[in-house]
Order: sequence, then C-alpha cells, then structure tokens
Amino acid sequence: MSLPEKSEHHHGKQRSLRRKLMSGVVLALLSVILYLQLDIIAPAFTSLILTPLSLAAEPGLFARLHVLRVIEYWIAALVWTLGVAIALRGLFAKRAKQAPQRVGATQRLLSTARERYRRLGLGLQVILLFAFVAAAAPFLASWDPTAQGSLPATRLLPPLTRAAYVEYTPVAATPTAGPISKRLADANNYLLNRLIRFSALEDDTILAAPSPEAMQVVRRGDRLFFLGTDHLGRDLASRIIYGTRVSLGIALVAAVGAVIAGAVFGFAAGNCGRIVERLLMRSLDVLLAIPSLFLILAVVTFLGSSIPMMIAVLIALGWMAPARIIRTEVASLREREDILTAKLLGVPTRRIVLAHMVPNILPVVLTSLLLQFSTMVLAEATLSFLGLGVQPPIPSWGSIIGEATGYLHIAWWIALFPGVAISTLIVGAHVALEGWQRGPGS
Amino acid sequence: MAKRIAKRALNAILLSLGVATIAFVVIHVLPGDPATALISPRLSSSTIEQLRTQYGLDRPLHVQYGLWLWSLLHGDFGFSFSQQRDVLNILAAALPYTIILALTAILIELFLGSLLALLAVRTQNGFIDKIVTVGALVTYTLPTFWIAILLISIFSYWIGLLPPAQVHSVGAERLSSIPYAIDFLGHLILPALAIGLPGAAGIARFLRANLLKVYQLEYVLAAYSMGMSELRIFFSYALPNALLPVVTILGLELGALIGGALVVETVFAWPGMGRLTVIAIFARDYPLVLACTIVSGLGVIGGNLLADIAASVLDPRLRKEM
Amino acid sequence: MKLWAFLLGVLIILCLDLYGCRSADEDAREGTVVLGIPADISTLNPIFVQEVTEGEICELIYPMLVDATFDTTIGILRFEPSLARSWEFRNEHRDVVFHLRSEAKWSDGVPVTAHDVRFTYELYGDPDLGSIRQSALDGLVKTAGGSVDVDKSIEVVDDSTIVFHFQRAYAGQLFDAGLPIVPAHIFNKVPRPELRAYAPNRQPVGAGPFVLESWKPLQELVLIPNAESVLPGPAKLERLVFRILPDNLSRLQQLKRGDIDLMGGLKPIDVSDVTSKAPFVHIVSIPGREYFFLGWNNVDGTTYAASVGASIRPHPLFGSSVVRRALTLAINRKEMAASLRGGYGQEALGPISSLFHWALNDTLAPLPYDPAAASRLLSKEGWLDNDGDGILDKRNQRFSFLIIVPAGDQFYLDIANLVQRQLREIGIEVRIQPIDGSVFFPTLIEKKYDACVAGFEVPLQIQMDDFWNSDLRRYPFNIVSFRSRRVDQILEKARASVNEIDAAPLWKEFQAILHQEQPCTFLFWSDKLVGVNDRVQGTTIGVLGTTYHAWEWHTGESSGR
Repeated sequence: MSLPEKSEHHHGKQRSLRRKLMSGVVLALLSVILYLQLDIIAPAFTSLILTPLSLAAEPGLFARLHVLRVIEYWIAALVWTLGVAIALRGLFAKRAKQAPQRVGATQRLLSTARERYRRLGLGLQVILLFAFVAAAAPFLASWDPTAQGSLPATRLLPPLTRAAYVEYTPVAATPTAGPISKRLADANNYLLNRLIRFSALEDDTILAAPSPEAMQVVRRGDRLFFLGTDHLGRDLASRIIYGTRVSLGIALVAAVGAVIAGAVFGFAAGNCGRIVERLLMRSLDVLLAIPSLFLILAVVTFLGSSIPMMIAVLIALGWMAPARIIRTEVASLREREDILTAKLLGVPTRRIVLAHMVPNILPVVLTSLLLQFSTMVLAEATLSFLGLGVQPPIPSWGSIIGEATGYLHIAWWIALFPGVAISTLIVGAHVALEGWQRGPGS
Repeated sequence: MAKRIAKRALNAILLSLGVATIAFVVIHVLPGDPATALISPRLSSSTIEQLRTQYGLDRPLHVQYGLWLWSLLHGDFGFSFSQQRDVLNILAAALPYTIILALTAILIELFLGSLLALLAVRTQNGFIDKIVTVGALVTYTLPTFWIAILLISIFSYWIGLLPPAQVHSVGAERLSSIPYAIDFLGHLILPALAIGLPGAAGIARFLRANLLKVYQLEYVLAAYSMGMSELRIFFSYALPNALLPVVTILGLELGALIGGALVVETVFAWPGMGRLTVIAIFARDYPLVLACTIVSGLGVIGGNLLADIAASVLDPRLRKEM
Repeated sequence: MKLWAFLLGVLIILCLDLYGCRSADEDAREGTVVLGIPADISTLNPIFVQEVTEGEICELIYPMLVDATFDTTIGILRFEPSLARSWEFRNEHRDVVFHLRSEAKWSDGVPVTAHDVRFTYELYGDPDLGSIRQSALDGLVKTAGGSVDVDKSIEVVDDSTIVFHFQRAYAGQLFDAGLPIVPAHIFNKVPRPELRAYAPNRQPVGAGPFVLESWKPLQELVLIPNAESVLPGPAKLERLVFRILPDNLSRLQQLKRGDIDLMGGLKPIDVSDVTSKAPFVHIVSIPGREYFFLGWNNVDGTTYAASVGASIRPHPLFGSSVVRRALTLAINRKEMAASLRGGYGQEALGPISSLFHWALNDTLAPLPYDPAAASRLLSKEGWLDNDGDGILDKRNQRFSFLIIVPAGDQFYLDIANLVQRQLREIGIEVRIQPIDGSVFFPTLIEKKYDACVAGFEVPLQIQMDDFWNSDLRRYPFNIVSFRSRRVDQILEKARASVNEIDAAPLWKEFQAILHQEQPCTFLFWSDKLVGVNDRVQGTTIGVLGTTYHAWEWHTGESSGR
C-alpha cells in the first residue's frame, strides 16, 4: 500500500488559507481603486441611492434627469458592491465543515475529479474577471477612452509616461427645485459630462483653453498613462478596459445565439426523417463552403456595421458548428436503448424528447457554448481588426490593434496589450472547456 | 473506391457551382458596381453609363448569370474589370503563391506539432511537458493577425532580420537560382509561421492527448506485456492511430487555406488568393470575385475529400464506409 | 533533434545570403532608379487609363503635342513644344494650328503624323470606349445634337499640320489638346469593341523617351530608354523600375534601406524616422494640391433624394450660414493640421489653392478657433440645452447628426474623431459612419447624407464649376448643395476668360462670398510628401507629378548604405 497522500484535512486548510489570501488581495485592490477613483465612484453611488428617493419624494422632476444614460454607472456601482461583498465573505467565512477522511482509490478518484472541476472553475473565474472589468469599466478606467488631450503632446507616448493635465467640465444647467433632485441632478450631470470632459495637457503653446463661460476647471493634476497612448493621444489602458465590454458582450451574445440556433437546427435534423436530415446537412455543407469574409463584407456594406448587425453576422456564421455537433449527438442518442425502449412502449415523443434527450444533450451544449465563445471573441477581434467590426469611437480590442498597424515600427505597445487581453480571455475559456470535457460523466 | 471518389468529385463540383451562384446573387445585390467605384468630378455620368454597358452590367440579372455560367462551362472565367486582363491569368498568377504558403504552413503544423507532442509524451508530466502544454494552449488561442503583427515587429523592425512583406526583395530577379530561392524562403517564413504556429500548437495538444489515449488501449498494453520493442509499438500502433485525426484536421485546413489565408496575406502583402479576393470585392470586380469564390469553395470541398481519402488510407475500417 | 540542426542550418544560410544579396546588388544598380508604388496599374493605353500612376507612365511612353510646365512664381500653366514644334491661335483664339515635328517616329519605325493625333482623339471621344478623358473634348465644336463632331473639330491639313477647332476660346485649350497620342496604324487593326483586351495595351508602341522593357503583373514594371526618341530625346537612365509594394510600412523600410529610391505617400510622422535613420534620403513636399473639408449638406438630403432633385429645402441643421459659421469656429483647424500633418499642412480658407498666387484674396484670413463665439452664435439661432442632457436642442430637435467618411482610410477617421470630440464640447453630438469606398461618392452625389469628411485634389487650372454651381441637377458634384446666383455669374464669366489671370478679380470675390457663407468647413491643405534617395539626380518633382520629366534623371554617387 502506498503512503497515504496528504490528508483531506490538510487540503482543506490549504484551500481555506488560499481563499482568505485571495479575498484579502481582491479587497485591497478594490479599496485602492476606490481611493484613486473617488471622484467618479462617489457620484455614481449618490445617483444610485438618490434616484429611488427622488422618485418617491419629487416625482415631477424625474423626466429631466436622464436616468437611462446613467445606468451604466449604476451597474458598475452594483457590481462593485457585489465584488466587495464576495471578497468580505471569502475573508471572514468560517471554514467549511470537514469532509470525512477517505483513503486509497476513492480518494484518488475524488482528487482527480476535483482537479478537473478546478480547471473549469479557474476558466470560469477568468471569464468572470473580464465580465467584472466590463461591468465596472467606468470605475476602472482613469481616462475617458475617447479623450484626446492636446494631440501633438499626447500622441504615441510609451507606457508609464507621466503627464500633467487640466480637466474641464461644461457648465450645465440643473433643475432648481427640490433638495434631493438637485443633488441627484448634480451627480448625474457630473457623470454624463465625464465623457466629454476636455482633458488636456498643459502646454501653453498648443493648448487652446476653452472659454470660462462654457467650461469650468475641475482639477489639475499629474496622471500616469499606464500603457501609453495611441496615435490620437488616447489612453490605451482605458480603451482596453472599455473594449472589454464590446468584445466580451458581443462574443457572449453571439455565442449564445449561435448555440441556440444550432441546437434547434441540430435537434430538428436529428429527429426528423432521413430525407429531411440529408437535405439539411447538404445545405449546411454549401453554407460552410462559402468564404466567410465575402458574406461579412456583403452584409456590412449593405446593412452597416452596428453592434446588432455584427452579432447577427457572427451568429449566422457560427451556428453551423454547433448544429453539426448537436445533430450527431441527437442521432446517436436516438439509437440508445432506453430511448428505443421508451418508443416501443408508446411513450409520447414530446415526453421522450424532454425527459430523455434534452438532459443528455446539455453537456454537449455547454461544450459548444464555451467553444463558440472563444471562437466569437476571436472572430469579433479579427473583424474589428479589418475595419468591419464595431465603429469608432467605441473601442474594441481588434480595432485598437488594427489602428496600430500603421505605427508598428515606432509604437509597439498599441498592438501588444490588446492582444494579451484577447489571448487571456480565450485561454480562460479553453481552460474551462478542458475542465468541463474531462469532468465526470462526459 | 475510384468510383466513390469520382462521385464525391462530381458532388464537389456541383457544390461549388451552388456556392458560386449564391455569391453571384449576393454581390449583385451589393450597392455599387465597378463603374460607381470610378465616380469622380472629372467623369460625367454618361461615361459611367458607357462603362456599365461595356461591362455588360446594364443587362437583366438572369441574362448576366446565364452568360457567365455559359462562359464558365467553356472554361472562360471572364475579363477582370479592375485589372483589364483575363481572370484566368490573374488566378494562375495568384494561386501558386497561396498553395506554397498553405503547404508550408501545413508542413510546419505537422512537423512542429508532432515534435512538440512527442516531446511532451516522452517526458510526461515533467517540466518540458508542462511548458509544452501551457505554451501550446496559449499559442493556440492567439489571434492569427496578432501573431503576424508580433512576428513582424520582432523579426523585421526590432531585429531587422526578415522582410516584413511581399514575396521578393527588390532586384531579386537578378540573383542566381539558389540565392533567389533563399530570398523567397526568407519572405515565406514569417507568413507561414503566422498561420502555422497556432495550428502547430493545436496539433500538439490534440496529438498529445491522442497518443496518451492510444498508449492506454488494450492491445497496446498487451503488446507491451508481450515484450514488443518500444519503437515498434510506437510506429505500428501508436502513431497511425494518433495521426489519423490529425491528418483529417490538416486536410480540412489545407482546403480552407486554398481560399487564401486572408488576414495573413493582407498583413504581409502576400499576392495570393486571399488578398485577391479582398481587392476584388472592394473594386466590385464581379468576374474576379466569382472566380475566387469558386476556387475557394472547390478548395474547401477538395480539402474535405482529401481528408476523407487520407483517413481511409490510414484506417482500413473506414474504407468500407467511403 | 536532427530536425532542429537542419532548421538552424537553413536559418544561418538564409541570414548570410540575405546580407550577401544586398552588397551584390549595389553595383547592379548603377543607372537604375526604382520607384515604389502601392498598386499595380491595369493598362498602358492612355485611352483606358483610370489611375494617376498609369497616366504618368503613359506620358513617359507616348508623345503629346505640348509639354506642360507650372510657373510657381505666378501660379499658371505654361506649355512648351513637344510633338508640335510650334502653334498659332486663329479665328479669335478659337482655332489652334499645330505644326508637328516630322522626325518623330513610333518605336516600330513608322513616322508620327497628324492622322495619329486625330485617330487618338476619335478614340478618346468614342462613347462606346468610355474613356475617362472624354471631357477633354468638351470644348471642341459640337454637332446639332450636342455631341462632339470630330470631323469638324479636328482637321488634318497634312501629315504634319493639324487644327483644333474649339467652340469658343478658354484657358484650357492647350491642356485639352495635349493628351497622349497612340499609333493609329496599330489600333485601327481591330474593331473598337475589342480594343480593351487588345495586346498592345500591355506592350505599348510609343514615341516618347521611354519604352517598356518588361511588365510582371503585381510585381514590377521596367522602362528603358527609347534610343530613337526625339521627344525630347532618349532618357538618360538605363532603367526606370516601378516596383509594386502594396504595404506602406514595407515600402518605407525599403526606402530607408536603399532598396528603392523613390516613394510617394509618406506620412509626416515617418519623416523624422526617415531623415534620422536614412540621411541619404531627402523629402520633397508638394503643397497645395489636395485639401480636406467637412461637407455640410446645405439642403435637406432626404427630400432632395426622394424627389430626385425637384424639392430643395434647407437642411434643418446646416441650412443656416450662421450655424455653419459656428461649426467652423468650434473646430480647431490649425491644431488639426498640426496634429495630423505635422509641418506639412496649412489651415485652409477656401477651395483655391495657394499655388495660384494671382487668384488669392489677401484680405481674407481663416476664422479663428473660438468655441465661445460658436456657442454664442448657436444660442442666437435658438440652439440651447433646454433639457440639460448636454446636447443643444431647438423645438424638440436635438443637434445630433451622422457624419460619413470613406471606409478603409484611417486618416478620414482620425479627422472625424477630432471633429466629434470638439463639437461635443459645445453640445453637438456627432455619430461617425464609415461608408464603403465605392459607394462613398455616389452617396454624396445623390445627397443622401447630412455631413461628410472628404478631400479633393485640385487641377492645375482653377475649375470651380463642378463644385459650386447652383444647378444641382446638372452639377451633382456640388455635394454641399451651395446655391448663390452671384457665384453662378462669377463662374460663367471666369469660364469665358481666355487668359487665366484675367479672372483674378472674379476669383477674389468668389473667395469672399464663400468665406462669408461658409458652405462647408474647409479644414486644411495637405502637402504630398515624396522621399527621394540622394543618388537620383536631376529630379523636378513638383505639382506636375513624381515622374515629371523623368527622362532628365540620372544616378550619382552610391546610396550611402
């Protein structure tokens, strides 16, 4: 008999310590960012809290408060709170009840299972991290992604360049009635106008100061361009952070859409008669043979390249792979003993489908989803790189790299960092996929 | 089996025609045509109309389609609007470049991938295996265009060793044959790597998993216990089993690459089918676009066919199913 | 492991050879000049030419009646004899009699005669051939139906005398008569419909200082001297190579390495890179040929397009010249020029290039950058932020519009981004929409747009009709839909002047009107930048093109590699 491997107890203690450490680190990071970005985070929470109060107390003025456009800050605030809550729980939660000791083969089996699920968990955590960045983007980015500063001074600065800046905000009119509404309106206007604040660098010869009637100075300071700037003087780090929303969001929606469409098709093909199945699969072959760029170009030229259009195009190109996989699975399931038995016994088809087929299809669907997700991230990046994806000023990782191609010989950072982001997200999805595929029961 | 291959080939041609018809419809539905691309202040609208007539674009759609199909069946791919010469000549010039690029990329994928997989399997769970596994995972997921850009940045701008684009250096045609070939190779390496590296990484991961699975198979274990030599087991059992799906994948990929690895060809200004397709689409050069689509479709379908044939050659069990 | 050794060995040999190749090349380059061009040309028949580069190459191969030069001190075109050794104006300047040189010969030995000239112009004017140079014949005598009457307007007196009969005198007569001439005896051998695919389009027979040695499609085109040429003589170079390099960055790299000698389309940001890393390359800047502007559709595009030009209503946003003035004030054009073009851009005042010194109105200056004044003007027009959302509005309409740019060109996108930013600061919301290049101009012509970013290249003689005439149907290139009766009168008078300079007061008034009305926001003029290796000598690169008088070029000392 081999030496007993490290006991469950020991593993449990290690895991608990690790969790506490990670929670502590996360909490520390969130606090640091809170401190650095207080000027944005405070009004966001103010807006979030005061809005229901204002609605209750002074309903008449609600229409003037442009609630809808501030929602992204509410989402960021809520996600932030959630993050803090999870970190606190991880830090202070009592250790989980001890699982009974197991030895030998069972323990080995459990630990390999845990290893596989750990992979899935790790991958999902990476994806969740990006989702957090996407949701909390307004809090995390220190500059507005479209802020250009004073061009000749700010363009193509290498990473870790310090810069002096002056921040202006437009003088905006606010409603005069109601103390709560006034504070709410002030907070909202501050947030809305953040995106047009003229963040310029101090350079007397180039900078033309806006007039005091239109703009007022908010602050002067010294900030770091963490990852440098691009050819129009925009902060690269902020663009990458805001780009997460686009890349992640589009990929997620498109992947879900593609898998659903593919599942419907695959299900139909797998369950209907032979002839229908052959016809459907043939048409699939033809569609697969058409060069995708050609179709994309056609759609984009004809219908424009807005975000919904891109998602539609990606779904249209991506549904075929899941359809194939699911159809194969359904076809093989059809022949399974329990289903054949059910059919012979006269169980209605709908019941067979719902009770037997669907639960067995789900693992394949999830695999498909993860696979499609990583494909979509790549596809969106490639399309944006070629200029066929999301249009400016909305930043997308692919379009940032695309803009960088003309400056590769003098500004390597613009192309490097978005690529790292893309790669990390896709690696996360693949790690999750690997973990899922090797999980027990597949 | 020859009859089956012929049947599949006929199938492929019909499928290609289907693809081309869809492409025909789509591109004529697109706004703009070769004449509108020329609109400028110095051109009167009557000239634009004259050009349209010259190109036969004023005829109804089904007539244009019929004429095009008719000439196609006679082997005439038409006259390119943007390059003012026969489409067949243009294809004949671009296709070899694409094929060379595709083949080189596939070879890199096969050899590099196999090498890495073997390395990983031999030192299972050791340090090298971990590096290969993680490295392959990361490389596999990198976007192709990003790899292309990184390669150019590193090898062309930073180190300055390899050229960043095109097929030949200036004045290369004056070199004798061996330096000429080496100049060509220097231009070929980066684009081939841009396509081949992620593919090789994918193959490495896949092959490694497959090899491990094969070594668990009953008859292989039986062979071990019967005392067969490691090498013999490897070459007679492990490799063919593990290689089969790899060959299938490579066949499919070769087929897809025949249409032209678009992004890589654009970034490296490689004069292949991919770049040709993009230029043709932007110029609304209908005959050229359609010809490129047909070639691409044929490539994909041909790749499928190739993969199936290779699979059946390697696995006798599949021969019957063909 | 043997595989690694093999690969390593190949890599080493590769490196050695790459370095070796270069030094071997140097000696072979004596007398050869290499130009890097971004795209292949499609034809060497001037009738079918569509792009600038192929036009320039045709002018090196084929004979032309006159040779144009540009007098930069005053700013007018002058013409020197080429195929025609002399000419006179008759019949109140309406007819031009050209006396051809008798010793000019095609490269196959056949003499060049007046019949070639006439035949060529027949081809240029043939509607079935669809040459883009057709408009050159617009000034010639026409038939009752309105089409050009080649029989009446181009008269062959004898082998070396030809007369062009114009409807009336105008400044561009010699320019229009100076198109490249093709050999009749070669091109009358096939029926007209087959001309496009005819082989001599790619193996030209010319009479100019260069002939074609070889043309590898998509790779390079090589010209060598035409030993028999008398127009003015064989070229001094041994070889002139046009190397097709679609990738901008690799063209730049090859210029820096000395692999190519000339490259156009340099970006200002590359200039310092080139001059520091390759001191043997000097930059030639060609000013005043191209300007960029923001086009505001002065009329409501939707109703115009729907009624096919019948219904002309002012645009709800841009119909007012006060609003347009405010927009110009709100955009920092000077900084835009400095940022996007470095020292190679000048703030623009109007569509008349600084090349034409005689026509510039010196009393005018570009509007300053004054966003406060812009805000005041807008609020005077009734545009206020009534609902506090940061965007101006008036009678329930928000000041928000779509600006279209040609897709695929980062430069236009950069301009649009800057504009978007600056206008947002005074409360105007701009959304950017890239439009595929081949439908961009059609969209503008059909006026299916609100605002656009566009650029125009100006010809070497002032031609404003197409862009500013009120007859929107007849002049679809008046894309901003500007209408002014006075400007129409000015344009008509200017068209009638025989000497360009006589129209100077008219153009000055024209500029004043445009400055007042601000039909569009003129942004900046952009210099064209050409990088030239010092070993190429005798170049006269300027407004007439990169290969202007390339027969004078010769090579000097080494490229300094």
